[in-house]
Amino acid sequence: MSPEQLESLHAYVGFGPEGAAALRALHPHVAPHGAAIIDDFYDAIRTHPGASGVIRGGPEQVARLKGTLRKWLDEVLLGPHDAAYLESHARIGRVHVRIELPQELMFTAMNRIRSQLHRVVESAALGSDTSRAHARCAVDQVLDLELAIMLDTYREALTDKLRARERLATIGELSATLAHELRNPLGTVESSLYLIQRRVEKLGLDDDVLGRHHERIGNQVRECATIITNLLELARERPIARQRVDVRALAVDALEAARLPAGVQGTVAVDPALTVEGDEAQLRQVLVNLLRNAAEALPGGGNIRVLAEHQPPWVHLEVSDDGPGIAPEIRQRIFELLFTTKAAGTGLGLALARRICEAHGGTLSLESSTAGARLRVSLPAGR
Amino acid sequence: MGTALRLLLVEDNDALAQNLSEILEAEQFSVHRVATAEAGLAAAETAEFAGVVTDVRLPGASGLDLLAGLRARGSALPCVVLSAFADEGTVARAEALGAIDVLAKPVNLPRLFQVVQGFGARAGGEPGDAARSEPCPPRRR
Repeated sequence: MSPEQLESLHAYVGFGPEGAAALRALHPHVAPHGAAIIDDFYDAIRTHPGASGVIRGGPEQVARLKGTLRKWLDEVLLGPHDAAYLESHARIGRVHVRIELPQELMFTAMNRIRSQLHRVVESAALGSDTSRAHARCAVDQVLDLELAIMLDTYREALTDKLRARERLATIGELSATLAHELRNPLGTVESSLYLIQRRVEKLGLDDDVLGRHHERIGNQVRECATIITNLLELARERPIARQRVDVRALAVDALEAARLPAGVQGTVAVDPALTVEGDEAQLRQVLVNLLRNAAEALPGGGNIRVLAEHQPPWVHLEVSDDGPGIAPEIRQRIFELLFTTKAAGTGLGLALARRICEAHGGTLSLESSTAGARLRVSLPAGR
Repeated sequence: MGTALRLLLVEDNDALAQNLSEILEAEQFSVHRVATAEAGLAAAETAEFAGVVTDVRLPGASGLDLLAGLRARGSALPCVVLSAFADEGTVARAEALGAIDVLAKPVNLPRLFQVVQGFGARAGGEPGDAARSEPCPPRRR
């Protein structure tokens, strides 16, 4: 929602300077009840089966959320209800979207606040019945505007999702054609390479230059094949063949399949007892993509480490490198489809990796790191 | 073994078809090369083959149509399908038509050799029996 749209909604419900003044006047009367209003709000959430599930962080998270709600309440009453207000409250809305708070609960939770504020309006010494009526009206107006802001964040998320899906559908159609068109010439190059190799062996040639270029062509052909595979995997929604996967073996296989360039040293330090629930081939693809991505950040060579940690119900797998790290301004964007910072990058690898993790009920995130980049895959642990 | 096993190769990409022929010939197979499913079906009717190696996407009828055509004529000729886009639907259809395997392109050559060597085992019965034998159970890649 733009500040102009919010302004037009203000006009629509008739919320203006008088309403804002009535809320400011109400604030000192609400303040003594603030803690009680907020406790009531979170008590209701705690006892509601649908709402309590979205708060997974325990008492610490609740304490933090209570702080945010207190600040929110102060801003609602004190204003100013301007562009900065809109931005800060939309951010709260986006948190609701991210934690998947159902819209109906967002709506009804607002009713708790409304009832509590009405109660304060009834009991406060506001001077006259007219002031009381004004205050009640302003509370309703500002809370309805608040709902409009919150609802808009849900719409925003839906639009983003639809746009991403449309983009994927287009890529899907294109890639099926591309795959066929490119895999044939690629197959020809690869099979010619095979025939050359046989010929070289037959002639008993042992030549460094020949060998080096043969290997280089082979590597590049495999690189192309990987890009095509990533593209196709992104385009089709492959069902997950769930099984128990040995994390250490998975990491070792992925390290081998990633074919890290010379000068890049990959190490796996994973407890052999660790397992996750998932599709082995797809998870290997995730790690291969993360390893390749890390290797691309190390043009002059370097180290990549794969670590794993069991934190029930999750297994966290980390791929870290000692490269230059990821600039703060692009941290939010690295998982976006088609986003890349590399001249030869496609913007497919990390987007696909994240999609596979999410399809597994897990996450892929960029962790903060003092040196290099640290990417973390969190997957449901095997039982 | 005596004479080389005769394979029918159906592939419309000429360069790839030539390479596959050369590679298979180097492995002691004899290869008859055609570029369409229609030509493949005609060839299978007039000559004896130990098996078929076919691309899926071809101009006109597809490699899977070729398989269906063979089965409709009562032929159980062993087949291996090469596909640039081996999605679940293609794999399932090929397997239902008795294909021994579906190999994604670029083709894993050792796997291809293994499969076509298997044609020889199947064709080892009485002369002319290969085209009438039971289709072998499909195998996953």
